[in-house]
Amino acid sequence: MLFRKDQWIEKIEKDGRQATRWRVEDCRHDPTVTFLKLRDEHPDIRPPMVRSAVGVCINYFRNSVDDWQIQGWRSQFVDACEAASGNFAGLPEPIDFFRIRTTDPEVPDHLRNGEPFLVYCYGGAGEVFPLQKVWDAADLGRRIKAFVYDLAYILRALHQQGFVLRQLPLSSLRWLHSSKKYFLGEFLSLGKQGSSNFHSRIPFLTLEERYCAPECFDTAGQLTPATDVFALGKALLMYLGRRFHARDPLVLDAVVAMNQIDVKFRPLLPEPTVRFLKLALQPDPGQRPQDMNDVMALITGRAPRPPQRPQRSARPRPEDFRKPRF
Amino acid sequence: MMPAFTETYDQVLKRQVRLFQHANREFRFPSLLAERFEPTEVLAYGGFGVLLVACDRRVFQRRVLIKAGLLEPHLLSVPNNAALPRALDENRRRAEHERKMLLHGQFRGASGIPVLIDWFDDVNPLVRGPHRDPDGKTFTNDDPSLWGAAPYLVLSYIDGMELDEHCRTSRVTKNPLGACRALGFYLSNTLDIFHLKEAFGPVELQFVYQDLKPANILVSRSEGTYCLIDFGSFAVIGPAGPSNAGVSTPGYAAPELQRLDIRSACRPRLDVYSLGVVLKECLQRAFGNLQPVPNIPAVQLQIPVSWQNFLDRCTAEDPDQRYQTMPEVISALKKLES
Repeated sequence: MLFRKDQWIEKIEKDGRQATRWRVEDCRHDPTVTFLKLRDEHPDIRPPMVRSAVGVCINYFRNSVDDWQIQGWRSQFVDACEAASGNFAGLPEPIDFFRIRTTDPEVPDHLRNGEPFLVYCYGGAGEVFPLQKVWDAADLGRRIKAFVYDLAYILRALHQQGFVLRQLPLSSLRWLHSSKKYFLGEFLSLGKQGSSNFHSRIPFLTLEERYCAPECFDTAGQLTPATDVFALGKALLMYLGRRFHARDPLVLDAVVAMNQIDVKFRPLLPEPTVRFLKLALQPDPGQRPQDMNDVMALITGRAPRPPQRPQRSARPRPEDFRKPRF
Repeated sequence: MMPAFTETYDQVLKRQVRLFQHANREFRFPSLLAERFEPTEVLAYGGFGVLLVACDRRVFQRRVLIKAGLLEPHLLSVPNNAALPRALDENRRRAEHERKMLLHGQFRGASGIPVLIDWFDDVNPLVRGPHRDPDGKTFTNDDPSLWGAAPYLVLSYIDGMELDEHCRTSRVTKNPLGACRALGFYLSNTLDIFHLKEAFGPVELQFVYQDLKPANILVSRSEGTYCLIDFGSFAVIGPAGPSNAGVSTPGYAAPELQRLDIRSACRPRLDVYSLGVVLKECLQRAFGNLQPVPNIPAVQLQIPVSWQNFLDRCTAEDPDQRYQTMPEVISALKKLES
C-alpha cells in the first residue's frame, strides 16, 4: 500500500473509518512488506517532544496476487504479530494492532477492509554490520560469543513459547547501545513449531531462501528449534563477512560455506566456533544441535549432546489443515 | 486457578469494578481500562504507586504493566478530606513527570528501559468508595472531579526478578565479577544517555536518576537482560536549576545530599555513588551474604585490588574524588578483570 507523508493512519471500526493517533513520516517498501516511520500526534506530546514508532503492513503492488494468497499472507502476518506479542525481551514491543483499508488495486474490493497493521516501538538501536576489522583472536572470540549468546537467549525464549524465527539476516538484527546487546529488529518470519510448508502454493511473506534452513521450504519438513540453529549459523557467517546471494541455490550455498570454513576462517576462528558452524549448517536437521542450550554449550567449548538420528519426514496432520485467519 | 480479584457492578460509575487484595490492602480498578486493558493482578505497591498486570485486549491478549497512583488509607477514612485533592494532584504530577521521562528516554534512544505503550485518564473507583469513617459510618466521595479522571501509564511487561534475587542465581555466582561488570556497563551506559546535556527546543536539559538501588533494577528471567524501572525519580536539570530533586533512598544516596544544598548537589556524580553502592551490594549477595551492608568498605570484599579501587572511587565521600561522569566509569570498567 502506498502512503504519503503526513497522512493519518485510519483504522476500520464498526461504524466506518476512524483516524488513529499516528501520522506517516517516512516509509520503506520491501518486496512484500511496507515499513513506516510514524509520529505520535497525541495532544499530550507537545513539540519539541517527538514520539516515533514503526508501522508495518503488507503491500501487494509488486506482486500479482489472488484471494487465496492475500488471505494466506494476512494469516502469516497476524501469526507473526501474535507471536511477537508474547512479552519477549529481545523483540520490539508492539504498541497497537488494528485493521486498515488497503488502497492497492491488486486487492479485490471485498478484501480491502481487512488489512492488518501493527505499530511497534521505535527503539534506540543501531544496525548490525559484518565485522570489518578484528584486532586479535581473543577479541574475535569474545565478539562471536557475545553475538551467539545474545541471539541464542532470545531464540531460546521464543522456542519455549512454541515459535521458530526461521531466518536471521543481519539487516533484521539491531545493536542496543546502552545494553550492549544484540536484538531482533524484525519478527515477521516467526512461525509455529511443528508446522510445515504443506501449502506450498502460497509464497512466504518474508522468508528468503538464502537465510533459511532447507526444511522451511520442504513440503514434508517440520519447523523445530534446529531450524533456528541453521539460521543462527548463517547469521554468524554473515557477521564474519560471508555473503549469501539470492541467486545461489538453497542448501548448496550452506555446503559451500561450510567447506570454506576450513580454508578461509580456520586460522582466525576459535575451535569451538568452527565446530559450531560445521554442525549448525548441516542440511539434515537431525544432525544439527537440537536447541539453543546445545548451541551455547558448543560455542563455549563444552561437549554438546550427541547428534540424534535423522527425523522422519513429517506428514501433515488433520489439525494442520486449518482455515487461514483473515 | 482462582482469579486474584472479585468483581462487582458499580451503579454510579456504570462500570464493572474489580476488587484486589494485596498485602493487606484493598485496591479497586475498573474491569476494563480505556476500553482496552483488563487488570488481572496487583503486582506491587510502594512509593512509586500501584503496579498492575493487565491483559491487552487489542493486541493479542498480551500482558502489560499498568502504573496507577497510590493513596494512603488515612486520606480516604474521613469524608470531605481536604488533603485528598492535594494527594490526587500530586499523583497526577508524578504520573506526568514519569511519562515525560519515559518519552525523553525514547527520544534520546535509550534501550533497556520499559517501553511506554500508552497513557490515559480513567475513573478511580477506590476514591469514590464506599468507605468507612472512624465511627463506622459508610460514606462515598460523590464529587466526580475527585475520581473521574485518574492518570494511568501503560508499560511493557517485564517477566523479571529483582536484582537481589538475580544475584543468588548461578548465572551470577559462577562469575560474580563478570556479572557485576555487565551490570555496571548497563547502568552506566543507560544513565549516560540521560546525563548528557542535550538541546530540547530552546533549552538544554540533563537528567539525574537520583534513586538508583537494587529494587529499581529488574532482570529478565529468560534473556538475563537488565531493566531500569521507576522513572519518576529523575531530576530535571534545566537553565533554571534542578526540579524534582532530592528523591532518594537512605543508604544509596550520596552523602553530599545531606551537606550541600540541593541545587549544587544534583549532578550526575550522585548516580556514580549509587552505582558503586549497588555493585558492592550485588557482589556481597553473589558471594553468599544474605544480609549485605549497602556501603561496606571495598577492602572487606574478597575482590581484586583493581575492583576495590574502582568501587572506592565510585563511593568516595568527597564528590570531587569520584568519577565525575559515566564515560569515566565506563572506561574504568573496561580495564577491570572479569
